[in-house]
Amino acid sequence: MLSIGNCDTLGTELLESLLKMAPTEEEKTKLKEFKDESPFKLGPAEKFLKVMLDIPFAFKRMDAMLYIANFDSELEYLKKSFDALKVYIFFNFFLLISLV
Amino acid sequence: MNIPAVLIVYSLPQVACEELKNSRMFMKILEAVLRTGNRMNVGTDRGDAQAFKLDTLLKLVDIKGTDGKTTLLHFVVQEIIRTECSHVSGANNHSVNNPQYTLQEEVDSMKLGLQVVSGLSGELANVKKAAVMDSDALSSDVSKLAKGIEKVAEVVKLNEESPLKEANQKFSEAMKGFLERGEEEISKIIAQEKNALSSVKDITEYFHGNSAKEEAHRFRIFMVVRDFLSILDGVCKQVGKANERTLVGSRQYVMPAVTTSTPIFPEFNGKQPSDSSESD
Repeated sequence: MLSIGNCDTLGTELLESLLKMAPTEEEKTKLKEFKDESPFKLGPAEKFLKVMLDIPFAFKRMDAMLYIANFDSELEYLKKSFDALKVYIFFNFFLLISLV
Repeated sequence: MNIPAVLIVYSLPQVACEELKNSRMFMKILEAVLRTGNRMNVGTDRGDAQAFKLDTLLKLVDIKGTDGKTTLLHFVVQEIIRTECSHVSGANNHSVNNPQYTLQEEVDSMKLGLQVVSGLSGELANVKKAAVMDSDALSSDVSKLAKGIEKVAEVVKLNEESPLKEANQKFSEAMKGFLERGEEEISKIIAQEKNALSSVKDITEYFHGNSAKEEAHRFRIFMVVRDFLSILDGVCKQVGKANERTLVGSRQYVMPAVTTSTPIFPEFNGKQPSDSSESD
């Protein structure tokens, strides 16, 4: 899904929790250096992160996808707010002009 | 006085705005209140008249009638409801002061008055919602949204430079498709924001003159309006309750609160100039 870029299928909640998992630079290097033949085994979460690191700039993609997923509702909220503000400003104007 | 840009921006199309059209009753009450306020201001110094008049709005509740309880604002609200309702229920052209006005009609018009008052509270709620809106927070939301799109642009750019460009084509297309639409929407919302904020500036300068340049004064007029609205809301509710009580008592005897033998506000008891043409 990350390779297709369909923001709706993943959902904002999943994207948010995936983004919280983003490894630091140090963790990234360690994960990349990790070899399968190592005596220590990786847990499922680490395995998943290692796979993610193979996708080019996976977390930047997710961040962009999260932004896109939220874009419409955020835009709608702002539009509505400015519309309401416009009515309110006009209302004030009407009220104040009646006083002059 | 210069005509502020806000006058041009908010000309006819906006006047026709649904929310205000539906507030006919509210505008009536407001008009009557303002007219009363203007009468009180007759003869005051024109120098700082606008600012003074704004404060007078808030003083309307401080002025009490001869009974020591009814405030001028209560009186105005009660009067306008009575006149309005006699218009609505007056299919036979009975006015409130008409001696032919029957008990049943009085009760009917009061019931109507109660409906009107309860509707009013809702209308005020909408205006008040906008009044508490934080324009700073809105602006910061807009810039956050505008900044965020850089993330998408960056990802598109990284993709173009990536050696795996071919494999990522679908992703790239999806992002690019959004980028175009998103940038367009963002410039639209930024224009809307600028428009709203410059109106706030215009209106403040128009009513406050140069003092509007001081940050402290900028939103003062809006605060006065907001305070006044909550006072008016409270008064409308009280008048509604008083009418309800009168209604309950009216089964035996009708004595509306305001038409007592001794006028509560002798100097304001005359008919409102513009109403006289409608109510005869």
